[in-house]
Amino acid sequence: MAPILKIAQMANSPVDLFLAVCLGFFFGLVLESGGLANCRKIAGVFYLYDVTVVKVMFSAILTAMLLLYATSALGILDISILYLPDTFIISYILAGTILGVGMVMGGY
Amino acid sequence: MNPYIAGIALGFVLFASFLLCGKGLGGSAAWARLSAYLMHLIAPAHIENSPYFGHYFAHGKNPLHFWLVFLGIGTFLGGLVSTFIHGRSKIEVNKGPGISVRGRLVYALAGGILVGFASRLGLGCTSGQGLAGAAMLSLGSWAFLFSVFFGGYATAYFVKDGWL
Repeated sequence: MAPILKIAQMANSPVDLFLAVCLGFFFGLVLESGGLANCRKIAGVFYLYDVTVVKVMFSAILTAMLLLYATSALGILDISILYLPDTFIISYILAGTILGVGMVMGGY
Repeated sequence: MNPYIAGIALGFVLFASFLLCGKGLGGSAAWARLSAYLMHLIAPAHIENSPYFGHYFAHGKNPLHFWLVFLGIGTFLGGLVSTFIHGRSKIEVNKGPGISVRGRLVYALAGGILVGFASRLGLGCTSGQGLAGAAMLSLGSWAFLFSVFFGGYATAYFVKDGWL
């Protein structure tokens, strides 16, 4: 059963933190390879001269979503104990809007 | 790299994070904790009594001893290796054609302050909310994600000299 380390009560153990570095490594590798470390590509989304970021982001969301729900349906993954921030709709709309303003100004 | 291939690979990394550790990938928490750590070096009492940052230090805890900080270290290394692989590792100020380096840095600082504040208000950035939360079909994360696009498109016209 997964999530493996959470069920094994090993959250924040050295193994968990080592995996964080490994996962982060691939996260950074894929982000940079996909062009998401380039501020001109980020800004490109808002002027529609380069929509790479949108292509990467939504294919990632779709892939992860399908894998999460497929493994959950097969009984491999207990989706209910995954970390999920509480839902504060108004705060999130406000936060997202401010973040979008900052993103088009700063490029990240 | 083809953006769809990169996206699918990113989706697998995100899924692996949930499958192994039960947590999604996040980018902003490491920065918040690093800032808190640095501020603590200068004004320890102020930060420890801060309603937001105080709990990072509760019971003598080190704010950097945190899963997302370790993830951030890995992200830095992975990004660095990728620039070597693609032969684009260099020190530069990446910017639009019509803006000075100084102007670009001013925009970057202003934008960074807004993104930093917003990522704490929203309990995450485009990684934690936008990718991880959205993949779990969280309503709040989708509201966040669409608001990012709204805020960006609403502002784009006014800062176009920075990029076009």
